[in-house]
Amino acid sequence: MSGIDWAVLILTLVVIVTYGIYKSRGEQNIHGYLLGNQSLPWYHVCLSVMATQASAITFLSAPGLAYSSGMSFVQFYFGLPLAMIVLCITFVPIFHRLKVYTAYEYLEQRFDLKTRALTAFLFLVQRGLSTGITIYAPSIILSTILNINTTYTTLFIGSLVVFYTVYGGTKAVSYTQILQMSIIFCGLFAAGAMVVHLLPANIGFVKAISIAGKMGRTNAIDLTFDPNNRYTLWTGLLGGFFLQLSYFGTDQSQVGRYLSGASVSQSRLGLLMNGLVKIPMQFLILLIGVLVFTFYQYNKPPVFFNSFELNKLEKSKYNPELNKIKAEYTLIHKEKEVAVNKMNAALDKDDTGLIDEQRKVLQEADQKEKSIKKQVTDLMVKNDIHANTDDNNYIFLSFVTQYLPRGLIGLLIAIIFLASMGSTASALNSLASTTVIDIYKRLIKKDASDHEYLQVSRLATVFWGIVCIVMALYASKIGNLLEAVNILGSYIYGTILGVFLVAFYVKSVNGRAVFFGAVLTEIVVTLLGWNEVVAYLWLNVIGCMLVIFFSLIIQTFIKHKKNPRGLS
Amino acid sequence: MKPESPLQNEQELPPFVKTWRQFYRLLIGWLVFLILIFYAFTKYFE
Repeated sequence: MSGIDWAVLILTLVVIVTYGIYKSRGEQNIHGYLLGNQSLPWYHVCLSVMATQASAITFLSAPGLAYSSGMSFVQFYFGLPLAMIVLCITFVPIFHRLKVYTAYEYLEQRFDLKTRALTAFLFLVQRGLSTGITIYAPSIILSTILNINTTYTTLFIGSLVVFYTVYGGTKAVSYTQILQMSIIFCGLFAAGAMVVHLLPANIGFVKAISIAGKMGRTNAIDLTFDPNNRYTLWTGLLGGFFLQLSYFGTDQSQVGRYLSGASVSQSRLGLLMNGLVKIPMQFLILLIGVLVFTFYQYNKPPVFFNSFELNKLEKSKYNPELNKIKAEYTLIHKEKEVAVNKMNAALDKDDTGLIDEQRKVLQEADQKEKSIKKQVTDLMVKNDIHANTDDNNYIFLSFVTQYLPRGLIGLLIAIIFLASMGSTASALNSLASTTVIDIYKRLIKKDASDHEYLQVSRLATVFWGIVCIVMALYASKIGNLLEAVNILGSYIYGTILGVFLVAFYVKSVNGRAVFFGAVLTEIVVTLLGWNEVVAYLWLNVIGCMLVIFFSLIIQTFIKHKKNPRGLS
Repeated sequence: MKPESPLQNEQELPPFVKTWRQFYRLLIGWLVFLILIFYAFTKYFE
């Protein structure tokens, strides 16, 4: 990175953090700290829920996914607008009317304490673990730039975020996220324009997408019904709907965001606008990955995008073998470049036969490249059993640092930092809310002063910050970060959503039935997920349905036991 | 007890349309439109 990039990066971070701290001044009570005094307009709510969901992982992993397997990931978000509608009809008015701090408070009013405690516990586990991964993602950036181990960068970034979050309450987080999202939109637009600009003169925007499309990278819609296929229209609509509904309806990191809305209408409008904007935004991020893919058909990509792992291998005794592989890789890339040029000519002539022919050649070359990559990762594991052999998260980053102009590199790296800080801040804030409101205030000390709850909230933020940093240190052993977060969520979200749906819609079920129904479901879902019986998105649907099913069965059994002859 | 929100009002109407139900229909229509556009995109470039 050049001096200008460092200046842009540091200036952006300093301005945002200072702004957050400035906005959080004067927040001296628990209501302001956790809910921002419920005073925010809809656009704050909208940008805040978007910034909370769109972490640094979104900007690192999504273009990498598009590069390596195409755009099918966009279907993951198809359930989101539908989920927003259900939230606006049911969840938002109830949470506002009952004036709750956390979603789990409502469950005690509807069921009992143990159901509230179980769901709060599941949330703390899920969010605690996944926030670790959220912290780890931007630490990859520093490790690549400075060429040092991710352990040190994780510790640095984690500490920075914890410091910022302890000072910044919900209101400050929301204000900061508005600036963050504005910078993110501008930066991504600039990055997309730059990729097109860097393509050869005869390759325009549409041609670049056409070339990637012929190599299977524009598969935005998949209509197949294979239950093991992770991203199809059906998994997106059904599984995605349940996942998004449970994420936005029952995950305190999101509930806390829209509960800060000034009224039911402001919260609703914020969520519905999120439903309008989210899918196109995700599509454009994936499209950047597709454009980067085409760019690398004309510019030889590194044999492995994670430069830290590659440097380690180059310095090892396996370097001679690596050099042989690199030479072979160069030859294959040259072959591929010739084939891409022929494909370009065929596209100009609109010659279907030639296009099909070149498609086959390119697909074969693609397979050869993958096999070369496999040889490299095998060597990495031989050299170091703990080597990180998944470089998806490094693809976009590698492109940004090598090819974008000075200043823009700093801005894009700042974006990744800001995105991570925004989502991590929301997560830590929600972990603190749940710990204080559902655990400390409810189970440990009911009548403490407002000042004490505020102090405990800050301490809880520090505690969860430490837990998340420790988790982040283990995140490097997990493959694609974005998928890891979603898989983890699918194990838990379905169950929590099931509990909430029973609470809202099945009035005949009581606390004991739903509690044991949820415990049984969690066991079944974990077994299904662990043994990879179905694609992970389906776990949300299965989990939700099983809670409703088990609760009804158990409720019937309880009634029958109380009244075996069915007398009223 | 949590303080009352000064703007708490469930009767506020959404912008652009007359009722919330219309806004929900608008969102569903937008989703269908996006799916159709993406399908055309997939078919055109594959």
